[in-house]
Amino acid sequence: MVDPLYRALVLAALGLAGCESTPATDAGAAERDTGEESDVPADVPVDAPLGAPDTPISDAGEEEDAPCPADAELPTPPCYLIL
Amino acid sequence: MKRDPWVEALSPEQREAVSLRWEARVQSELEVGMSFTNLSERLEQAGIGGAVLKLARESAQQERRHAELCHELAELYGERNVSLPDMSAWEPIRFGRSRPELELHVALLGQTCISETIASGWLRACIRRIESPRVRAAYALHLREELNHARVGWTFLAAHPPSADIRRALSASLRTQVQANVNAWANEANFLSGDALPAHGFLSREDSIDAVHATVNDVIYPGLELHGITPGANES
Repeated sequence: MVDPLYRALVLAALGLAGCESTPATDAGAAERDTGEESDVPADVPVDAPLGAPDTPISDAGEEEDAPCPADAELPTPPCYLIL
Repeated sequence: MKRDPWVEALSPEQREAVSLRWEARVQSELEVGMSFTNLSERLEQAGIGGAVLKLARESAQQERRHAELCHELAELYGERNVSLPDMSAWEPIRFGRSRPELELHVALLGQTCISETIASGWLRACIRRIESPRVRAAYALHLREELNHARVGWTFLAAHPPSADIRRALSASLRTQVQANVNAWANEANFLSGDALPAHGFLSREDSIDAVHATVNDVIYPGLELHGITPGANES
């Protein structure tokens, strides 16, 4: 099952990308392109079950893989994490 | 501010704990707003316009409105005046990439495809459990607008497919970038000092982490894979 959030973001963006050549793209484009309403329950059904993760990531604080050299340069982003 | 029976049903300790969390979120909302303003300027300098730039600019304004909403809730729950944080020392995050194009991609990926997407998944999980009508309305507004904030990056990737070397570089740092966000979401400081209050929008740490992991595995990784960005795929 595809997560509704995947549809609302990743797939909707493919539609929005088609508007890139039109500078006047308006805020409702994503909803129109996906045929969805702008209201939250219609856009992302809050009662929709989440699909079971098939490739679980590690628990917080654990690393699955040692970071590659490029990773080591990345600072922990402190400011844009919550909302 | 209008009285709220849901708030009044809480103990003074619970109200203060919730108020402090909302107060902390005022600052994070303002920071994200400033970051979106900075991102908008950098997108414009890079010649990126259209839907991507429009969404980024709107996101900056909406995050400031989110901060106002969080401030109202902090005062409502705490029954006190809450000061707005001083943001004058805020500086945009630099990821240390020598190529401006790659620096912009890393910032955009982190702030929108990862952070804002996780925020959307987390808000959805919260809304499922919220019973307070006022808080539910606040979270619903956040989620509706958060979706467009996340779409900044997803639309950018769809409209401006990254070159092979950019994809390799993004792939090489993706797992670390995601893990940094997951770790931050799991930080004990983000949770109430007492028991969780899901009816008021504050999940337990365990439920929050579950929501974050589900979003990473079901949305972020598959979405980025669609654009050729895969964790650990630093060679092609």
